[in-house]
Order: sequence, then structure tokens, then C-alpha cells
Amino acid sequence: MFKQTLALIRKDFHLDLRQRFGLGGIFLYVFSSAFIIYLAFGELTPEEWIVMFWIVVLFASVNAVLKSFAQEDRRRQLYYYTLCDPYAAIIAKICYNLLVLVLITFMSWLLFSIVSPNPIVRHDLFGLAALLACTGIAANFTFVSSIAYRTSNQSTVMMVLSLPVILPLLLPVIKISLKSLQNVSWDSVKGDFSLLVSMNLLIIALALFLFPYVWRE
Amino acid sequence: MNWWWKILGAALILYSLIAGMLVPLGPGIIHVHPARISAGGSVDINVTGYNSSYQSGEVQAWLKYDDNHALIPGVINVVDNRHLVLTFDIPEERPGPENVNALNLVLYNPHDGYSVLPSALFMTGGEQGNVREWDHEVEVGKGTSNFHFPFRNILGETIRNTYYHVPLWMAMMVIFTISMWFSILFLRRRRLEDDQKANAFASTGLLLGILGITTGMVWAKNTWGAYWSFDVKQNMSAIALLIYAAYFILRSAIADRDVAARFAGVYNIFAFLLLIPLLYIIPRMTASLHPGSGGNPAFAGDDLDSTMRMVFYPAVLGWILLGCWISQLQARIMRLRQS
Repeated sequence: MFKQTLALIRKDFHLDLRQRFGLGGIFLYVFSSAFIIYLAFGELTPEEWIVMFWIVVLFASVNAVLKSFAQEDRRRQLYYYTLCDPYAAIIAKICYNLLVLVLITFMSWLLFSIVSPNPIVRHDLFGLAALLACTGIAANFTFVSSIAYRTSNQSTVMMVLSLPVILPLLLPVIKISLKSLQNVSWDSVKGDFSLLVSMNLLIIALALFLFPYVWRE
Repeated sequence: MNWWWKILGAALILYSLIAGMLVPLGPGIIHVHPARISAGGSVDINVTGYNSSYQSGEVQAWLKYDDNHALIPGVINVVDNRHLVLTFDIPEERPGPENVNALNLVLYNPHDGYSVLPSALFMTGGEQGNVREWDHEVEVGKGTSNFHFPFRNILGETIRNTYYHVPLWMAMMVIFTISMWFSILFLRRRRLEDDQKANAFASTGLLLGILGITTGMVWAKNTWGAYWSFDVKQNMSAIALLIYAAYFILRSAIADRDVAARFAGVYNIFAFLLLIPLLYIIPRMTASLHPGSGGNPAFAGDDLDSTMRMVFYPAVLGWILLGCWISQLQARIMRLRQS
């Protein structure tokens, strides 16, 4: 199963390398949103910076993850279905999307820091929260997109399905981000981090448990 | 006789509506004028009571400073059952060092028992010193009045919403749990009836949720001052309703019935389990106006007293049973439409 997972991750990577518009489009999306925000706001206050950052990352990740199931046609899905284990399939998708999201997040961080000075004081807290957020968002969006890709209006349904359920994950992330603007102690964010980790575990467990039921066409 | 639970559910709701609306509220104090007094001199305080009967027996009154210090009025003038004029001689000296003190007003009469208005009066001025005049302790007994719901300050008559808003919300959670249970059954047995039941229960749950949030908003308008104050509990409930709205959108967005049933079932389980932290963990981690969080009273000890329990628990059971009944009918309609 481990081998299968690795092979599937490598396959996704090759697919994305071959058709560059997918990932390139998302990076362009992040870049142009950062630019529009700069034009609209000028200099951002720290709170605006945090909120704008997460909104851009969230919507960029929806677009990035949505194509993970949609880009392959039905016949090829069936081919994978005959070949591999459902757990390998979902874990591979989640891992690959996690890599893409981490890339998007840290690139947005860089871009936002260029556009408006980086207000974060506790980089370690913010970075850890961002990493955990990426894991949760990747697992959640990957799973929801595996449901949504069968519908007639994919991106709308994806948004409608995933945004309400992503909220328990996003709230502690935004809270930690706002706290990381000041030099806070670890104790003051411990509760938020434990909520974040448990939400991650819950989402991943649910995705693993439920995916086999979606997998079979 | 396998329909007895339907009759029971309807009867319990009828009972909760009638008892919840008709049983009177206990006596309380709603208004005190003037609200500010200064130390030294005599002051007439007009008290307006609620459901009180001051004319029925000897009224006692205390202006309570703390557990050991209280002031008793020189003259108690009973205007009518709901109005009193208390004449206090406020001494120059007070027991504590603070310049501004909130005093509680406590009233007692043999019929009503005791009633309290916390922070009824603000006393300014005076000096810390001799406390002889303050040297009274509040002594109250039990009233002899009839069966009634407790009077709570600010809540007043809106305390009755406990019998409608809270049971609706609890029934919604039960109905959603049943819906998820049928989704699990469907994914295991692949019988379309199970999916229809899951669908029917989810739609009833959504209905109860909408009713619950509406009754909550009406209550919030009367106690918090606005229908919607972006309180964490309100926001989370709105999201809960959004999640189930998304469930129905998903169902209608997939043309193939079998696929729709399977994907909707999977999403139902996923969404319900993510709803739990949203409704029961996050609101507890932040400050909220809602009873049960941020130190506000809800179901602890005195807050839901025995008279309220007699209406509250039947109402919860009644709404759950009625919800099941509606869902069952809904599922039957779906089955008939399909065949």
C-alpha cells in the first residue's frame, strides 16, 4: 500500500508538471489577489493582513484541490479503481494536496510580506498553525471534492459543501494567527492548538473511513 | 397499538404549550426609583414588583450591603399589591472602603416568600466607619404562594422560552443523529429505504433547527436587545443549518439516484461529526451571551428549578416524538412518489 501511495503521488506530480496551467494558474491567482489587495488597501493593518491572507489561501486551495479529482476522466478513475486500494488513493491525494497547499501558503506568505510588511512576531506559532491548517484543509477539501466532482456544478457545490465544515478548523487557525502578532507565550495558544490537532485527526479519520464508499462507482 | 408514541408526542407538546404559557411567574422586583442614593439623609424609594402581593401580609425589606450588613427601612408604605414606598435613613458611615457601592434590595412577605433585585441601588459618598445602623442580617422564610415558575431578573416572562427554544434544538440534534444512523445503515446494506429515511429525518431536523433559531432570535430580541448579535452560539447554529442546507443541495446536484444516495449518505456522516465540535466545543472556548457559556446560567442547580423541569422534559420528549412522526410520514410520501 505504501508503494501504491508513492506511485500515485508521483503520478499526480507528473500530471501537474505536464499540464503546467493547473498549478501555474493557481500561483497566478494568489499573485493577482495579493496585488489587488495591495492596490485596494495600500498598507494593511496586521489584522487585515491576517484575514486577507487566510481568505486568499482558502480560495486558492479550493481551486487547487478541486481539480485533483476533476482533472481525470471517468474511464481513468475506473482504471485506478481496479488497480489500487482506496486507502492508498485517498492518502496519496491528501499528501499531494498537502504539498501543493504548503507551497501555496508559504508562497502567499512571501508575496504578502512583499506587498505589505510582515506583521507576524511569533513566526514559529504562525508557521505551525499554517502547517496544521494545510493538513486539515487538504484532507477536508480532498474528501469533499471526491464527493463534489460527480455533480453538475462542481465548484459551487464544492464551496457549499466544504466551507461550513472547514469552519471549526479555520476559527482556531485565525485565532492563533491573531495571537502570533504579539509575543505571546505557548500557554495562551495551547487550547487552540489542541483543538486544531484534534480537528485534523477527526477530519483525516473521517476521510479515511468514508472514502471507500465514494470510491466505488 | 404501535402508534401510541405519536399520541404521546402530540399530547406532551400540547401539555408543554398549555402549562408553559398558563402557569404564572413567581413574584419579583422589576423597578426601583431612584436608582442612585448618597450617604446621609432620608430617602424614599419607590419599588415596583411583578406578580407580587404586598397587601397580603407584613412586608419586610432590606438594602443588602454584603452578607453581614444590611439596612432596614424606617417606614414601609404599601401602596398596592405591586407598589411599595420604602423610607430609608441612610447613615453617613458605611462598612466598606469603596466610595460607590451596589446594594441589593431584598423583600419578604409571608405570601410571596422573598424576592431579590441585585444591584438595585448605587450608593455614593459616606465614610468608612461605624456600622451600627448597617448591623442587620437578611432573614427570610419560604412563601406560601401557589405553583409558579421562578422569576429571574432581565428574563422575566421570556423564561418560558426554555420550553420551546431549548427542546426544539435538542430534538433537532436527536433527529439529525437518527438521520446519520440511517445513512450509516444505507452505506452498509444499500437499501434505498434507508436513504429515504435519512433524507426525511434530515429535512425534519432542518425544520426544527429553523424553528429553534427563530424562537432563539425572538428571545434574543427581548433579552439581548437584537435579533442577531453575532454571538458565537448564534453563528455556529447558523452554520449547522448551512451544513444541512448543503446536504440537500448535494442531493439535488447529482442526477443519478443511486450515486446521489451514496454521496449524500457519506456527506451526512461527515458533516454531522464535524458539527459536534462546532456546536459543543468552540462555543465553550469563547465568551458568549448565551445561557450555559461565559458564566451565564443555564441548567445548573437553581436555574432550572423543579417547576420548570415538569414542563421542560416533557417538551423535549414531545418534540423528539413529533419529529420522528413527521419524518416517518415524509419518508412514506417519498416512497409513494417513487413507486
